[in-house]
Amino acid sequence: MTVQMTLRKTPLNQTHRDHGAKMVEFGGWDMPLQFSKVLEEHHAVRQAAGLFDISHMGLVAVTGETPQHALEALNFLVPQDLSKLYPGKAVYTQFLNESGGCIDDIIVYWMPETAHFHSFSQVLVICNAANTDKDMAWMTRHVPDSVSIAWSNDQFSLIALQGPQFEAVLRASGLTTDAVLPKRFHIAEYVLHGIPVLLSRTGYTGEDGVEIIVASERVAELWTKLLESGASLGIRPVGLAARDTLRLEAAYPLHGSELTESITPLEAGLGWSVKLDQPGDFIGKTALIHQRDQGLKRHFVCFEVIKQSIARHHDVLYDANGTPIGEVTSGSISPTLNKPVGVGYVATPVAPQPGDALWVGIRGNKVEAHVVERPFYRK
Amino acid sequence: MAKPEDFDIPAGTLFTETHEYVLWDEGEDRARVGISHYAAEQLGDVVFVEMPGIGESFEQGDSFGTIESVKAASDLYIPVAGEVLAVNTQLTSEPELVNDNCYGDGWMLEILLKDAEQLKGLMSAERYLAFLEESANV
Repeated sequence: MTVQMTLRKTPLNQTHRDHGAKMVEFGGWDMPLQFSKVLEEHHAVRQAAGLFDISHMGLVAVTGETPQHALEALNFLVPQDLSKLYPGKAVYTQFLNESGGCIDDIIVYWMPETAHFHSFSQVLVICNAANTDKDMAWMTRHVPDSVSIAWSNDQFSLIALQGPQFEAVLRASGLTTDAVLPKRFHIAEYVLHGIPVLLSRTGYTGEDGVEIIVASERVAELWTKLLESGASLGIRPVGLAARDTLRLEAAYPLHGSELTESITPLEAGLGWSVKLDQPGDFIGKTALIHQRDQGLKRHFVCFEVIKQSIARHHDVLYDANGTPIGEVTSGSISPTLNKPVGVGYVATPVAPQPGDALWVGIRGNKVEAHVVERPFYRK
Repeated sequence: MAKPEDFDIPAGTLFTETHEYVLWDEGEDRARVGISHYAAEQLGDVVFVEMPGIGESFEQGDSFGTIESVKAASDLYIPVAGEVLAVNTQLTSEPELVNDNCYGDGWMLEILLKDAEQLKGLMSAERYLAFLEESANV
C-alpha cells in the first residue's frame, strides 16, 4: 500500500519554484532545501544577509480573558517564568511531558498593541512545523476552556532576515532612520515597502537579525522586494540546508535531534531557560527537580572531528577504551571553521571538558574527535 | 534523450554503474578518474574528498577514497585497476570543483592502467546516460 501524503505549501512555494529552488519535504511541508549552493548561502548569512521562508513554523494565537490570563494558563505547560513577560517581550522555552522530556521547543510572545495584527492580540506561540498539531492538542488539553488556541498560518506567514547587513536591508526597505529596532527577544510593528509587518528580534542562525510576520497575501511581494532592496548589500535567499549548518555552528538544538520527548532541557544544556525556583507548578517540574538533585546521567557535548570525515545523526560515540558512551544527534561541516563538527550526548559520570578526546564510529571506523566549547561559532 | 554534450562529457569518457568515470584517450597507458555529473548532483555540495597517496595501487572496484558532501558520504571505487600517478590536490582547498566541473577541474586521480582490457567492460557516455534514465524509471 502506498500512502500519498499531501504536503503543505507556504504562500511562497511558487516563488521558490520559479527561482529554481531544490525542494524537500520537511515536517509535512514542501520547503526549499537550497536556492544555489549550501555553502554560499551559509557564508552569505555570516557575511551579509540571508532571507529564509519559515512559514512552515506554527503560528499559534493563545487568547484568554486577558493576556495575563492566557500567559498564566500557558505557564503550567512550560518551565520558563512567563510572569516576567510584558507587552512586546518574547522568551524561548519548551513544552515538557511529565518526565521533563521535550515535546517541542517554542517561543512565547506577549504581543504589543498593533494596528494590523489583531489575531495576535494577546499571546503568540511559534513552534516547530512537525510538532504544531501535537502542540495544539497539548495546549488545548491543558489550558482552561476560557483560553482559545488558534492556528494562524492560513492568515500569516513568517520569513527570517538574518546576518550582519539585516538592518541595512530593513533601512533600504522603508524602515525610517528614526525607527528604533526591537531589542533582542522583543517584537514590534513596522512598515516595510508599504506592507505592515511584525519584526521579532530572534533567529536560528547565530547572527543578529529579525523574524518577520506578515499577512500571507502580501508575503510574496515582501519577499521579492526585500531581495531587490538588499541585492547591493549581498542578500540571498537561503534554504533549509544552510539553515541547519548555521544553527549547528551556533549549537542551537533541533527538535527531533538534540531535543526529543526523552531528553530534558537540563540534559540539552538549556538549564538557563528552566526556572525551577518559580512558585508556580508546571508539567515536568518534579522530574526536572529530581534530575537536578540527582545529577545528570548524560551530557550534551560539542566536538570537532580531527579527520576530514563527517559524523552523522545516530553515529556512535566511544571513549578511549572503545566502549560506546553515546550517540551523535547532529553532524555536518562547519562552513565557517571549515571543519567537521557535531553534537550529541554521552553517558559519562562527569561532563566531558573541552580538549577531551572521544571517538566517533563513522562508516565502520572509529575516528578521533575533540570536545570543544559550546557553541562552535559566536558572532 | 540526454546527450553527452548536455553535461560536457568529454569524448573518451567511460563509466561504471557506481557513477565513477575514466577519461582515457585511445592508445594511452594512463587515464583520469573522477565521479559523474549525476553522482555530484546526488551528493550535493561536496566538502571533503579523501584521496590515496601517489604510488598506491588498486584492483578494479577497490575503494580509493571517500567523498563527503553537506548531506552524505560515499565511498569512491576505482573503475579499472591502476597505480596512482597523481591526485588532484586542488580538491583539498576547492572540493566544490567536483560540483562545478566534474569532468574537468574536478578530476580526482591520474592512474597508470594495469590492464587496458578492463576498459572494455565500462559504459560509454551514451550507454551511461541511458542507464541513468532506465534507473530513474524503475
